[in-house]
Amino acid sequence: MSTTKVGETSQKILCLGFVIQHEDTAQGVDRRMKRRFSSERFTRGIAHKSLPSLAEDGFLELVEEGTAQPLDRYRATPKGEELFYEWLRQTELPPTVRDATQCKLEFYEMAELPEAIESLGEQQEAFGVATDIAHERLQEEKRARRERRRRGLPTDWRLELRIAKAKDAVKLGGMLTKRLKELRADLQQILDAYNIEIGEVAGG
Amino acid sequence: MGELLVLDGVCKGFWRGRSWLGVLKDVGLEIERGQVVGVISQRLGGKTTLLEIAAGMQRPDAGTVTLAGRPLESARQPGLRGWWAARRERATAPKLGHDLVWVTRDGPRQELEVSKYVGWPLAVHGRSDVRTLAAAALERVGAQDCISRQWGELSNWQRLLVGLARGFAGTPQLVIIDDLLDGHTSQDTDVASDLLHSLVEESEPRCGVLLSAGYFDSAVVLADEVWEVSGGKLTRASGPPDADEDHDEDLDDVIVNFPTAEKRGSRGTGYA
Repeated sequence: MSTTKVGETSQKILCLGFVIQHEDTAQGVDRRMKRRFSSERFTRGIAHKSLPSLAEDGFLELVEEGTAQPLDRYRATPKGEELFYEWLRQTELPPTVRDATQCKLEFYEMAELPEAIESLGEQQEAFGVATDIAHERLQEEKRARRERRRRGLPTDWRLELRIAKAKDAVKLGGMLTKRLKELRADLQQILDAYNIEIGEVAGG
Repeated sequence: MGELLVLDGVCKGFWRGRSWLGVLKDVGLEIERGQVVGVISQRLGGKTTLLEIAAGMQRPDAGTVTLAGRPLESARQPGLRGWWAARRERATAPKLGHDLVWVTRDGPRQELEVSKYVGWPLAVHGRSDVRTLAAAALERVGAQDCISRQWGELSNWQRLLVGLARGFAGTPQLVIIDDLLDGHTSQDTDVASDLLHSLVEESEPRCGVLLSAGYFDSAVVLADEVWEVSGGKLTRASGPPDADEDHDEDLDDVIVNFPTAEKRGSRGTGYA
């Protein structure tokens, strides 16, 4: 049964998108996935499973059999293109955001708060590193654009799109880092204000 | 490329009533040639103070500032090293307007002609072909039409271009830009960033840039590296600066036990 749905960013739909961009093998798609979505940390080798599965569901078709399964070459079917473009054009609305931290906040008890604060700190640090990486990528792409201009080469809309993506990634990373920092401070404040009080109640 | 500007252990504070307000606490920063480094902070958080110290416009209370290996403003305290040593150092000390150029959003007085504003850093160091050089600098940034206009007549975007022209009119080693590139649309910031980086990449010898910005989003587009001044400390920024909700409270937070004279002496003044 197909598990590919329009309303989610599944790794499968991204694999489908890569094959729509051009015919490819599982090995090739995995390589492109790693390069284009480095910070998303998708499962390694996902295309090895996804491409045969997408073909089974009729979204891809085998063009050429390779010497091994990862080298089988696929192309998208009209049904696959229809699904992908439906996903691409769909407006992302807030209810689709399933944020783990938001969900966990619902269940924290006072005893969990110190560890939660520590865990948020680790997350904040990780987001900070991701933001730095996105920032470096943004500057690299912008450097490539300046180099093109310097050589008198025409502008490249794909490069512009990569710059827009990198800019969005660094802003998003910055926003999430700040959000974690502020959430940590809020939890710490709760802990400082109520921990003693609760301890007194518990101790009678 | 090698270190161009080095700030080491820089401290700066001001008296506020009877309290000592530590604006910068043991701040260290290095800028390489070819690098554009941005500093962000909340309003009055100390970024301009940091830039002014890097430009030699303010003396730190402690710490050292060197540009291309030469201490900044080294001749200001002749009593410490002797008059002759100070005189010898004065000749080699980096000079504002020549080795480093300061550009700010405020600009000059409203009626000053753009050619004079752009050419001033060159004029004070004895260049006679100031108007020609100013015209060439304005042309490089696409603002040649502004040459005979007054600063007060310029739009925000034209002021940005004229500011960049002034920064790169000569052959500075370091260009310091305070708030000039802020407050523009995301697209204009992108254009300004490309222009700034192109000017750096084409500079000979290759210079560096230290700039301040009010927003993380514009700083990451403009600079290769972004730092944040918060509570007097300088750290790598990985998000927008803290909210500026209650400024007075924030200032009280950074009132510190400032280094004693003894400690300051042991670190050196930075203006040996």
